[in-house]
Amino acid sequence: MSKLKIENLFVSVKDKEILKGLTLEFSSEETIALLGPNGNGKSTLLQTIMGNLNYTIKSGNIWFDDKDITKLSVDERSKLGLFLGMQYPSEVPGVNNSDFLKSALNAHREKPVSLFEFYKLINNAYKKMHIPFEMSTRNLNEGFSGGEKKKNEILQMLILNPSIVMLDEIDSGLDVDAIQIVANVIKEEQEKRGFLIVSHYAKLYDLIKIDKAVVLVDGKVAKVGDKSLIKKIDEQGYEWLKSEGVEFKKEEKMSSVSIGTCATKEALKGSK
Amino acid sequence: MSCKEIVLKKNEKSVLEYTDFSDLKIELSEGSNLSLKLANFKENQEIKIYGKVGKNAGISVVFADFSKNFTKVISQIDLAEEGAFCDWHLATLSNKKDNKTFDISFKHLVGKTTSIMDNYGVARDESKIVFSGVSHITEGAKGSNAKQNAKIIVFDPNSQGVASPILKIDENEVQASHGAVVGQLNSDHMFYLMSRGLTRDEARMIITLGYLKPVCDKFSSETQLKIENAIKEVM
Repeated sequence: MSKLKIENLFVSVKDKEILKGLTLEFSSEETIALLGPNGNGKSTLLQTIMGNLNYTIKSGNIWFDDKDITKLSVDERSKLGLFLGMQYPSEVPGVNNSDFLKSALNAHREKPVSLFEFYKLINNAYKKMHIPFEMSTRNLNEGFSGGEKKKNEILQMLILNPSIVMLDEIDSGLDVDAIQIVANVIKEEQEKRGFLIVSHYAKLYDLIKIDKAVVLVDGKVAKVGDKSLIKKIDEQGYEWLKSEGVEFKKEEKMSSVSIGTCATKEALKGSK
Repeated sequence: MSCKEIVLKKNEKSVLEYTDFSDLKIELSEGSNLSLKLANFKENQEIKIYGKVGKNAGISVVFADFSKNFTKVISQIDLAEEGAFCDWHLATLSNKKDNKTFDISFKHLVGKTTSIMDNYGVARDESKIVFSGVSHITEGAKGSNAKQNAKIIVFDPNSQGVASPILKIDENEVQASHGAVVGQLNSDHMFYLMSRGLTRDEARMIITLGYLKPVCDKFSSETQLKIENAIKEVM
């Protein structure tokens, strides 16, 4: 069993503080639903755990089992068993999907995978994800539809076999059938690995086992509950949390000057 | 090294691949078609290419440059008669203190002629890549089409890329487009690949291979192997 522990984490993006003392702990035997209004730190948390350098850790630590991974590089975190299914998977021109999968798989192994073993592995994964095998010869995510990209993320998870999987809005862009396919695979995989799943919709959460629902507000854990918390948020939104003493981040003041002509007027006003 | 002369007669078709060349003189007669594959692995080279393309004749050039130190390539293709066509694709990789200039020009001397140019470069360390040249649609060359596309990835803080191809248009009723990009490696691509376990170097390598692939794929398997080794040596 692996354990991920996030300890009093403060994270900024371009000097804007997003995570403000976030603490969370879970294991590879759990599935956590991570909820929260837009712009309150869900994606930031996932990207920071994976090691994206655009997110600066000001203080706090991330532990994987007993190892402090706060300063580890992205690839080292992947090799330890972390996986992030991205909200916007990159299209990488000229990089063949199956060549990439092979390089990624070999990066996680001591001995390179044999051609036969690799073929068997990816063939099974493509079948499981209901993706035509011919797509393995296409360039990585290039020209893929939104849904195809998301299914390709889950396919990579199947091949890389991580112990903790983070999925960032994996259900956005998926049609009804594709959500069912993704949910079935997650359900099957829940036995083998832990999941931290960000979604705005109850649909995906309904289709899988959820051990805990965690709500992030203003860069902190605001509420923890079970599956009933997801249902309540789905029906009532987040406003009711205020009555429970949860503080929402203050709306940023819009500048009174937004376009050039107004700016000129404002400047003239100032000179009078 | 002596100048290689390539002459195609009326309606003749030919595919030629060279890994050892310096100056080339090409003449294509009516209806002929030449697929020219050039791979350059040498040091300190100056290469001159001159081509003259006749009526409804076409030349397709793929140029893979993995030369070292100083390289200067000057190419001038004249589209001399109606329906003449040239399709040019170049990929180059530089490192250390390499200094490479590619001056690729096309002259549309008559109407209904086409030139398409795609130049791709990757510069590492303190090396420099320059893409220049002029696509000139001359007076009277109505209905001609000129496309220029130049992209350079600069890997390191001291690598330099200059992409400044020029379109010169002296006639109306023509089509012309022009794109030039010089930039660093896409950090989102790097993060994506590294999040799947590839090290920084492996990710850079796979992106570079992908970037140069459209040109390198066109060569024979023997030359492709040489190209792959040349890329590995630099990366």
